[in-house]
Amino acid sequence: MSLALYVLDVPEFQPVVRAAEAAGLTTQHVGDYVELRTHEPEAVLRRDGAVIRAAVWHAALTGGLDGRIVSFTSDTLHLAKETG
Amino acid sequence: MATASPSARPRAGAPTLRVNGVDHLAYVTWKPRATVEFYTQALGMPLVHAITANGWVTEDYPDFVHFFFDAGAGNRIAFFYYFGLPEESAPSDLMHRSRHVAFHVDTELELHAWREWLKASGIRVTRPLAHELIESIYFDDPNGIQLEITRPLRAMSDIDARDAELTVRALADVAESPRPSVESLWRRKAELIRKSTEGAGL
Repeated sequence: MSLALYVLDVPEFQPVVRAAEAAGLTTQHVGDYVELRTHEPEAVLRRDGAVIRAAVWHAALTGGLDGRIVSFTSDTLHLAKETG
Repeated sequence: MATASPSARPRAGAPTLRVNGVDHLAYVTWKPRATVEFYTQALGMPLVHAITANGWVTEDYPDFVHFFFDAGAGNRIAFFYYFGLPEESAPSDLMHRSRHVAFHVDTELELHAWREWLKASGIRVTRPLAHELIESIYFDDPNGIQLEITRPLRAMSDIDARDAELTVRALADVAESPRPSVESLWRRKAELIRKSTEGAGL
């Protein structure tokens, strides 16, 4: 299983898509969502450069996640593949 | 994992049964003078109705005054003042912020004008905070009830409703698990998205 997150395809979450692209994740439309996926074991999304309010950044995973959260701060979102 | 999903849409067969907005929200006040002054003077809501009674519904119901302010668009906010009722302690900060009332304005200009007016009226008010769909200012009424004035950043649409349906399905599933967490909700939602899109042949 690769690491993936789903972002609702609405304007306020586009910065999350761009932050994921900058982190090397691939993008694909899946229904109402943009699926952001990587085969790497980990991914770090950075809020710098993404013009997004903190209140929205903290909802970045509201579309869903295949993986686990290593850390989720106001600046970075560190994700990893699920283990076990 | 629970198998039954909650029904997140109105039941078929009763399509004409739909309430038409909020008639009134009701709260309890121990400060009637300050409440009337705040809602009429600071928020510009006319006092439109009041009921006074010695008891109601049950034998031990306290004597009361129930008064209503017009919040626009047919909506009202109302207060009970109960005679002889001991004042309750304030809710926790989290509950205070959670149980709030948000009033609607249409434009950014109106939102900023409200903020300036409230500040000029001596009311502590936050800076505008943008969330997903709305931008809001927050302040308290004299009873410690958190109020919000908000304006839309974009229209709420069908995509939001479909997403909400998946979110509450995932929530209902994980909330019944031994250790509910937002991370488990997000994992469950990803599963539901994949299932729903596979079902649609995508």
